[in-house]
Amino acid sequence: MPAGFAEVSSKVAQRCSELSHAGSLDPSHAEVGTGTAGKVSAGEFVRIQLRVRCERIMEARFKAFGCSGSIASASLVSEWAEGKTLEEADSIRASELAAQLELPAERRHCSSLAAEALHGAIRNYREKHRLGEKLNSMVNMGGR
Amino acid sequence: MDHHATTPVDPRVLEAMLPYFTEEFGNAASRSHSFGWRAEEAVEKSREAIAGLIHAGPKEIVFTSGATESDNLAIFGAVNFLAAQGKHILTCRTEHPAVLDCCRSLEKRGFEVTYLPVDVTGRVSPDEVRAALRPDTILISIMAANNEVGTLQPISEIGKIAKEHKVLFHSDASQAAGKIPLDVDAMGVDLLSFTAHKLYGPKGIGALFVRRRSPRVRLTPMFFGGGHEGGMRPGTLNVPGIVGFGKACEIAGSVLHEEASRLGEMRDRLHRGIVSELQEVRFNGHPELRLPNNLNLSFSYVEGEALMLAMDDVAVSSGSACTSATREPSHVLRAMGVSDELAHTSLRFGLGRFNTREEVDYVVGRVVESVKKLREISPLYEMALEQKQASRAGGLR
Repeated sequence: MPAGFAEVSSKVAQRCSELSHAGSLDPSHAEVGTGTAGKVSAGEFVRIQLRVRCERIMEARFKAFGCSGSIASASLVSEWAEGKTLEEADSIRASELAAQLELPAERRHCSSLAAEALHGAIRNYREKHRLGEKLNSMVNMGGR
Repeated sequence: MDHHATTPVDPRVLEAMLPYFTEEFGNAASRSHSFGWRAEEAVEKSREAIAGLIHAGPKEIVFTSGATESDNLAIFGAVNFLAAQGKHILTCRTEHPAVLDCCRSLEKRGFEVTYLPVDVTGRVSPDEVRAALRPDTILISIMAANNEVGTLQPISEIGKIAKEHKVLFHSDASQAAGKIPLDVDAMGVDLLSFTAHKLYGPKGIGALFVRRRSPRVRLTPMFFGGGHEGGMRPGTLNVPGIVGFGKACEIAGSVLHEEASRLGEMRDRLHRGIVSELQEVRFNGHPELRLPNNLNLSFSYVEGEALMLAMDDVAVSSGSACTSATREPSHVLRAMGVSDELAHTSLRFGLGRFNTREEVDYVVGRVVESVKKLREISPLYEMALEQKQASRAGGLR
């Protein structure tokens, strides 16, 4: 067995036990943005989903295949994102997650994955939203 | 249930050791007084018991600090002694790092190493061993039983090939000793590493079997400074450790078959219990030719380290480690053709002498509960369910 598991902090252990904000949102819904990060073959894949209304994140949910650090980071980033505006959430950094969870240096990439998935979800929502607006304007133009 | 990593000291072993820390504290090399004589007598009695476990002669046992040192002494000792005769070494991809790292170090010194592949069950093919031999091959090192999946290698067949070609044959038997019958002559090994702490003895004491006849194996020592252990491993002997190792071997030999049968039954109970409650659990290893106490399973969609943490009151090992940005799964599972994705989901269970059926049932419950919980939050599991639903819907059309 591979040796040298990085230490797991009590904060990580607690998050993995509670799994707060775990779940799914319907990715086809216009208000939902989905972001993913990581590679399954590398043993880690994180998905963050956001339900957004008027630029504010009403709900954030995660699913994660990965070590305890990845799961805890995805849970924490979802908790932090909820209630924030998209702009505020976009400024959440991996280093902040790592510090909050007391991740050792070997596990810093776990927080990077969570942040990357969150930023991806924000991008995805914005793209969908822009597309929606474009479609609406085209429909309105056609109606004239 | 992580007895491949280490085992508790059997109370009978501890009892045998205790006097050698206090009243019987003599140095076995002190020839001038009774403290030394009694220590030496205890060492030699233990040496016989240790040799007996592998059907060797007592003079063929060299004490070391453990299996890693035994592997180092066997490989470097043999290769350094035989360097003028050749530069090729044969081993396999699923060896313990104690062997693989020695080989990599020798590669840096100009030796050439062939790392033989294994089949899907983790077995090396004797035919491939034969085919890989070269005129300049000086050493074959193939483990007796794998530490991750418990697969037993065809040691006696490889031993015959080594004999035919007059190539020294080393085997790391750290996991096999005390678990399955070992006979150095039947195996055809010239060097065999094993250690006390894997068979309910103390940590810090191991042995290397070094064949004394047909052929008489010569090693270049790695340590210098005294004539202990025939000059092959100088240093004051760890008398309490050796006494404990001897007692542990004596007990292991006397209960070998009975214990193997009991552990095999409990291992199968664990396996049955888990697969009766969970789907998509893959067994890794050989269905029959394996250690009686080993079970290695992959739980699709759930990463191994997270699973270990989810059941933190159960001691197991994982084939996945989160220690760096680049995450390498188990080299053993990879060599067996297990995908990286699945290798990251593996757990190793190692049952031991003091485990009970009640503990097995408890572990079944904890594994099932934890896997279900983690699958609930696994995006891979969700995707797999969606795919199944889609294909079912497609089939209904």
